[in-house]
Amino acid sequence: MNRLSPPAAWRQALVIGVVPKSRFAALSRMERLSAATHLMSSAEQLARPQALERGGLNDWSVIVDGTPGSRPVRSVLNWVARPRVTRAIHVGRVMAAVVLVAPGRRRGVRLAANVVLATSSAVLHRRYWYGTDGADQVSMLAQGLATVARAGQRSPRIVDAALSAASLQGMMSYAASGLVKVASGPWGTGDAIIGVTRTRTYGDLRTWQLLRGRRNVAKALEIAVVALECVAPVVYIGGGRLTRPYVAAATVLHLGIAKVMSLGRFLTSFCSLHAPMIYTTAGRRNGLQYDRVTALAFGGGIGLVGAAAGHQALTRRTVERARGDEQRIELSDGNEISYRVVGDRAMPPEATGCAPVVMLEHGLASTPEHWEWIVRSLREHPGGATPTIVTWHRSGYGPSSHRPRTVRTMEDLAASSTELIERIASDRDVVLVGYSLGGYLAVLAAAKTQADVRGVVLVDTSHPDELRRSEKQRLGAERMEGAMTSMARSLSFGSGILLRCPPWVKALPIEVQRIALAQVRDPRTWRAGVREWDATQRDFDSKPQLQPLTCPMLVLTAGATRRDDPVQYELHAEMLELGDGGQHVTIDGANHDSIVTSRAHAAQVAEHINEFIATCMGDSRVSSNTNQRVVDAASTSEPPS
Amino acid sequence: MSRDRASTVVRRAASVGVPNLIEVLLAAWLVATAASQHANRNFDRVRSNPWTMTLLPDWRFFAPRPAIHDYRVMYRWVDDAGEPSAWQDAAEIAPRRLAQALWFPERRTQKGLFDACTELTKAVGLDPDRLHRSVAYRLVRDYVERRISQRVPEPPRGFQFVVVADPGYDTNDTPDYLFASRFEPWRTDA
Repeated sequence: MNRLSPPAAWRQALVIGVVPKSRFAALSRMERLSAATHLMSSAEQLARPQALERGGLNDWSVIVDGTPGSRPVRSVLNWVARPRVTRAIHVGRVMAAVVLVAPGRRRGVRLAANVVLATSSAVLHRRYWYGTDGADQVSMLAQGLATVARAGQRSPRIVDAALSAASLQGMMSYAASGLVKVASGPWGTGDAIIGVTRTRTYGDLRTWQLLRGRRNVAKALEIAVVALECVAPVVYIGGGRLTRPYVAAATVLHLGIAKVMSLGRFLTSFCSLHAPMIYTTAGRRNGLQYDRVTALAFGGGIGLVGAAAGHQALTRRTVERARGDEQRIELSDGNEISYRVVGDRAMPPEATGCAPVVMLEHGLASTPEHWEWIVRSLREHPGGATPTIVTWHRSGYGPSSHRPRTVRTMEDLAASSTELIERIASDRDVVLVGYSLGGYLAVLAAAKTQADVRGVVLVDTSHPDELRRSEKQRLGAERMEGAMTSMARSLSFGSGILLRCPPWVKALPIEVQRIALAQVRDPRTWRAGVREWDATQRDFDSKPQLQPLTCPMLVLTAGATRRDDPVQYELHAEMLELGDGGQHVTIDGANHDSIVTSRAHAAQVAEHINEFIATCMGDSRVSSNTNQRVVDAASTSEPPS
Repeated sequence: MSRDRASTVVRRAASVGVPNLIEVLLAAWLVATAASQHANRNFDRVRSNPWTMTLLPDWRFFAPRPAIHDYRVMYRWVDDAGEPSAWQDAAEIAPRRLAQALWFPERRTQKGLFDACTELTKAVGLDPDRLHRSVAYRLVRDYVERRISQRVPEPPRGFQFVVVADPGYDTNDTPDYLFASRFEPWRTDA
């Protein structure tokens, strides 16, 4: 290896001038800029020792409770987190960073310094969970790859592999950020940059004052930033001829960010990935001999797309097969509906001890499996005779089909419920139970059906006035609408394989988790949700007058709903007035999800439903003329705020 | 097989096997990184393990929505006579200076408070016991407690804090109250 003259060595150390065209120049530039970021980062942490003490935002005695890991891992982290040890590590990091930034080419020394920076970054990551930022992330990545390259320095293939990975991560860092901004959010309207610059945390008063009255300038800036980010893959086109202009433009962007947002470490950390980008995208012109990583990653990406398609097909098959004991019925609108009967619906009243059919109506973008704990509790601990329970998938959900233009209004949805009730339970007494939007549907169906409805139970129900009267519901609805549309779109493109298992699925009985998760990952669930939400909004906008019912009602409100949204609690109380007597009960400790999906809360709900059914069927405990509100003792001690 | 030959075989295997392994691992890491950049964070399955979260970079900076509010933490305390104080800011954000582009350790504290408040406001609606045991709540509570102990000569009976989404320099927009803590009795060891 040729020795650099002292001035050239210092120029390289100060990362100025030379465009890193060779393998080792690129590696050297990456590790130096990244080390400079570590140097600043550790110096900052050493300058604020109080952050590690009680009252500091890196107080390990608190953070440790949110830190996962096995006992040996936690032992290491606990040791590292001692303030003295943490400070000693930072001093070591500063020294290692200085070694890397300064001229000097001894492989062993540079490898050791890289190892110190890379491993200490990983170990301290949890310690600084609150307050870490993107520059820390990039410098940890770059130093890790520099460690791999220095460790395998005698093998050009290993160095090229590390530099190729750094280059691809660099390209992805821009492209992913740009594409996510294009996919959603306010970018391109001017609101994003004006919004950020108005904040004291990330913004700048002068820049905000300049931009707030010049929305077109802000808009043009946003479009330029997003376009620059999105076109990052062009560096891989034309033998890397566009790479140098690209990284020059990106450097200008980082300089602007450093000035306006005071994110100076972002400049050195991101620019550390520019050198590998210049080296690898030029391919053989720069001496790149081995670029198997890019080919392997490309192949892996294609494999992932194939796996996503296969996963989507399997998901759909799981949903279609459902639990295996469903029955199907074609309704008059042409939709074939899948429903499930727990207990024998054909049994005559004498045989079931006058037990009714309990119809469970699921919520918006929800599944019949949400009811599973409640179904089990209703069957295992009946208040009187064991009821027959029916759950079903509304049109478009699960295996139920959907014909275009059959779900346009709430009347359409209520008509389906009514028809199903009348066709499968016409010879029996019926109790309707609805959760969330299903509660409102149950009220509409009870008013419409010819069946003998003996009671209606609403579980944290929706109310047609909620978007007008409750700000919390209105804001929640806006978020939910966007989320449902995004889910439907993403899942249609096969992203189901990447969807996390929601916590409520994990709370369900293990036997139904698989089918519930498949329904969550099925785009049809979300499309059905979007359709129903359109119908719901039209209905709510029309200010419908609800018809009084001739049966008693049980209204169950989640404790969190009562505490956080008193208006919704009032609306639930108003729902109760539609019935011919009834009860309003708060399930303390429950929230809108857990009231049905948590085993403990579902057991409470089922107990209330069983008591209510016994009362309705025995017709002895409910006054037919007065609304009897029973609020449990725990919730009366905590009035709504 | 002689020792020399065995050593040659091992060296050759290492010279081929190690680079192959490194290339495959790096490619898998890149694919996993690409698969964890979805615009909707519900699709972060690959990132759901806390350790993959550390290993996989998150490139969604300021996306899809950048922060357009500051988190402003305010507190008041109750003295021995039971009189509440006026609301005060727990943290002041220094005006922007060019030097901060090079040296800005206070940003770490601001970012830490920002992260803790983001987590805390997401936990609103949880069961109160869980909320009060959460790391984010305890960090913000302890932070406020320390600020009070630095500013108030006599230990108060207790305090309360609120987290407000503040529009920063924009005085035409109104702050949004996101979270109000319970009354926190003063701890003797504070």
